Amino acid sequence: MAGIKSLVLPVIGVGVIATAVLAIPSTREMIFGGGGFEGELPPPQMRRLTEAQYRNTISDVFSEDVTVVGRFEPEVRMDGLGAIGASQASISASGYEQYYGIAGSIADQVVSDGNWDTFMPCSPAVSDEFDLQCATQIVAHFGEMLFRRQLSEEDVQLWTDAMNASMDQMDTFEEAAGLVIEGMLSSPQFLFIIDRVEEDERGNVQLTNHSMAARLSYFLWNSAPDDELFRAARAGELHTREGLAAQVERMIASPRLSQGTRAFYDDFLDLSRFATLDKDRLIYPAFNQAVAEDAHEQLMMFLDYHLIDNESPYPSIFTAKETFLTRSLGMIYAVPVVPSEGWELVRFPEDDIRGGILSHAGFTALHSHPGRSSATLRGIAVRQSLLCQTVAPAPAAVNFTVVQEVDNPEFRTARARLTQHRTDAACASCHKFIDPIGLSMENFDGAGMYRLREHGELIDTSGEVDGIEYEDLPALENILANHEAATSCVVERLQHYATGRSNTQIDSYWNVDLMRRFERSDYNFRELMATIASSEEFFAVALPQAQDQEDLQQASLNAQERNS
Amino acid sequence: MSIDRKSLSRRSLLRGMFQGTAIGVGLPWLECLVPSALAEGGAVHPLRFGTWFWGLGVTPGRWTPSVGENGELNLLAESAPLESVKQHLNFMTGFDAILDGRPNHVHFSGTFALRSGIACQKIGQVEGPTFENHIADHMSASTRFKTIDFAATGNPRDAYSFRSAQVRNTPEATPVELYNRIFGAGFQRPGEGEFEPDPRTLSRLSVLSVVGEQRRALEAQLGREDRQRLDQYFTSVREVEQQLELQTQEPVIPEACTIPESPLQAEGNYDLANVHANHAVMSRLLALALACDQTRNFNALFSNSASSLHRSGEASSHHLFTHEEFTDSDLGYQVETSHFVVENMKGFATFIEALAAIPEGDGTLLDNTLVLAHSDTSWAKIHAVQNIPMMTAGSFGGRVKTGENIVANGDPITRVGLTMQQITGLPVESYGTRSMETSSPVTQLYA
Repeated sequence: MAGIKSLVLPVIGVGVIATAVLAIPSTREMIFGGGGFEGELPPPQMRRLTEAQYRNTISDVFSEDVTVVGRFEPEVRMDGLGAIGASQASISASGYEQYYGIAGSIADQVVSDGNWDTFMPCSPAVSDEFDLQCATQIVAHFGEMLFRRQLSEEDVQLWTDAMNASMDQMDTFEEAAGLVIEGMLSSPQFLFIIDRVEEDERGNVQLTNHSMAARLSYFLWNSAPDDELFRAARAGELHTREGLAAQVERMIASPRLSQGTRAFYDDFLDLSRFATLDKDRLIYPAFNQAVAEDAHEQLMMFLDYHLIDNESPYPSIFTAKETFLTRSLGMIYAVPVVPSEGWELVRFPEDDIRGGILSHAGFTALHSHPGRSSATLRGIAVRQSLLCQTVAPAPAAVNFTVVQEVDNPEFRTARARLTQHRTDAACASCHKFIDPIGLSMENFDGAGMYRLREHGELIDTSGEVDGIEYEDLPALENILANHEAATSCVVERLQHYATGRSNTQIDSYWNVDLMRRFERSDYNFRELMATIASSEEFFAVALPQAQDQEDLQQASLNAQERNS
Repeated sequence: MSIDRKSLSRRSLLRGMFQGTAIGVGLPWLECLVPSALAEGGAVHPLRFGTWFWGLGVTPGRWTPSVGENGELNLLAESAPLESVKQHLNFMTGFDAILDGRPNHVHFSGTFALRSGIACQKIGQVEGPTFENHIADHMSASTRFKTIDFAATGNPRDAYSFRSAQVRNTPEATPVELYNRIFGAGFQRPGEGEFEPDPRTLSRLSVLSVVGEQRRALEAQLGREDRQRLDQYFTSVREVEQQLELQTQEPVIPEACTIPESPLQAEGNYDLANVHANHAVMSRLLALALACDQTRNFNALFSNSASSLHRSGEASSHHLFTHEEFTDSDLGYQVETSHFVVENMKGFATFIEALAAIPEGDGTLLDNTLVLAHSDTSWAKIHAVQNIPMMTAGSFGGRVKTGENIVANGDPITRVGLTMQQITGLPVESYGTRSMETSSPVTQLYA
């Protein structure tokens, strides 16, 4: 289909989307070289800002000194990612109350006496009178920063009118400006990243420059576009190949990239669960809140160090020997840490079982019960998160009591107990798939501390995965490092994370292409991010789905009733 | 189908709500909600409805009470903690989640069969809203909050009230959060002298209306599903607007309302002792929120589905015990698992006592309330969704009998959902889908 672009034409009235193939070269082809893509184009998106995106945006638009206090809506995970859930989630009433409260507190800080000059583009001539020129500047400036688009004249007027009207009640221009900022921060245009589409000169649908900028910045930086990206958007540069390439290159080199990569690791490995991680204090006295926070941060630093700073091949995360420790984590690792505060880079000897991602306290403790380890939970985590494999949910009508009796003298170790479990045919098929991986991590207890024995019995960490037998955890890590599913999984997840959608037809073709490039780059994760950010599929968009007949009828009914 | 609640037409009602799971009829229902005292010229007390949830059900043969010759409920070992409040309760057993060949998504299907009337096809995906939202829209239309929800486990994900597939009502998860929501900045205390609305509030309202004015322009850019999400978003905005509007009016503080001090900062987690402590404080705060008429609807949660409750120092949680504990060969049941059921019931007793502790008119707050308590499963050891244990508490202004032991025979659990909607005044004639579609309420509950 080279040189041919498919365009989705919505057909109003019957709720059917028809795909027509038109032989018109699009602007996109002119930018990207005319590859075109096969399959239906995805509709525009409306993605709810995540907590991290909200915080980063406030910090970048205003300053990191502006405090953001309040509870955010819990993440919704779909198809293995919060990024996909964000494309499906809305905001509950109790959630909106929180967002509204947070918005008010941010606005108060921003317009306070000490901060006004730092954040505001202008000051009114006198404080107790409405200054239209300054109001217009404020609305236009924050409108673009917070809504990620240029406001139309009507939009600007709507907000300046509201500000003017507030002056009747409020004493000062500054207070009225605060209310407008509060309103903007409470608007769906801020709380959701809403794609805007336009037609190019040939009538083809494309994202606006500002929507492209937002897509880039929330993917690469997990935050709002900066001044330079907004400038490029206003200049229309993102619709040119050179303009886009220059911005992607700049953004990948920016220190803000770390905000973006961390957000991906969090989503990829479902690390939001750290927020509610619960460990029994009598059983694991060394595991406290500080350890949990450090274990979370350790995973981030570990991945950034290997994948971004050193640009090591992605599979090295399984076999790496270097990681970072704090004194609190040193208690869990039983390793002395020199600095009393902050982090130390440590290198484990080659024959140490620690160093790879599976040995991290953050991984082993997160996938455990509050009072004990769990080979099953760990096995599921590896299969689902790191290999993107599906594990069937437990069948309903199963009697588990044969599984584990921790104090039974016959079944002292998790292996003995789970082996017993696997004799039950209903359980066997899944547990054979899950447990061997988890059993190889049994040298780490529920808090991630190393142990040689369980109930006095030596722990056997050998196993078999996908037909290959191995001796211990490092051997398993080697197998996983060479497992095709490990590299294809991270490509698929990053692709879904970037677009906020599960596989569509165009994504399947794109995935094949990304895989090939990833392999060619020796699994360079940083390059993979740049490749995605420069791909035409990343910006592909169709018109919104048409309203169907039922919707139209209902809308007309509602209107009639309101009028009657 | 996206229906604007404000413009719900008679025609829409006849076509059905709840994505077709409930069929409405134009019954003369409004009068159901007028408290009986009004008719008699006495003081008016609002009616309230809410749910109370616990995870992992009960042990067969150890919870369901019998009725003695004197008509009193004889409680068993696992229901014994409810002895002091049993006169306010009804027990309901023998109601099933009927899945019609759909999978039993463990710890999920049972709850949503009752709450949405649908056996979910995919795990984690609720199909349609849960019924108590419609009750809340109806009963709490004029109060500050449509509903106040809390989870005593510290985890805001532990909540089973969904306004739609995409919007879960987020609960408050610690006592301080709950206090701040109810009695924090937005709570209007009675002032001295003549009431004057805060000019700032009036301005905030007008700015918020600008947010609403963008709606049409935004809708034009969105596909159908996203328009529904936007619609839900604006429903939430409307609630905040309504709260601000209430702030511009002189506060009416009911007689039974006392304003508590802020509780101490407490951690939220699944440690049983901590859950008991937080739940007790949160129950009291909720009761005061109801007494102060901040809302008339609530969803309270003691433990999550697949309960993660655990006792400090023990390697196993309630959930692990249900599956792994051997049945005691002498006693014939799982001893530790049964202990946890008892703990959950102690929690329910605490909750009911908190409502009953607030005097209202000649009785108590509980007398003007209806609580539906239920679990996700019956016998957790095998994830059974037949015979899911349920209770009600409170007489709802004299409309609901108490002290009954209602035993059904494998009837659809939606009968209970239908009953709750009808008692609270929703014009719903039938509820549930496929084999769970029912138009037969549990009439034994009607006073």
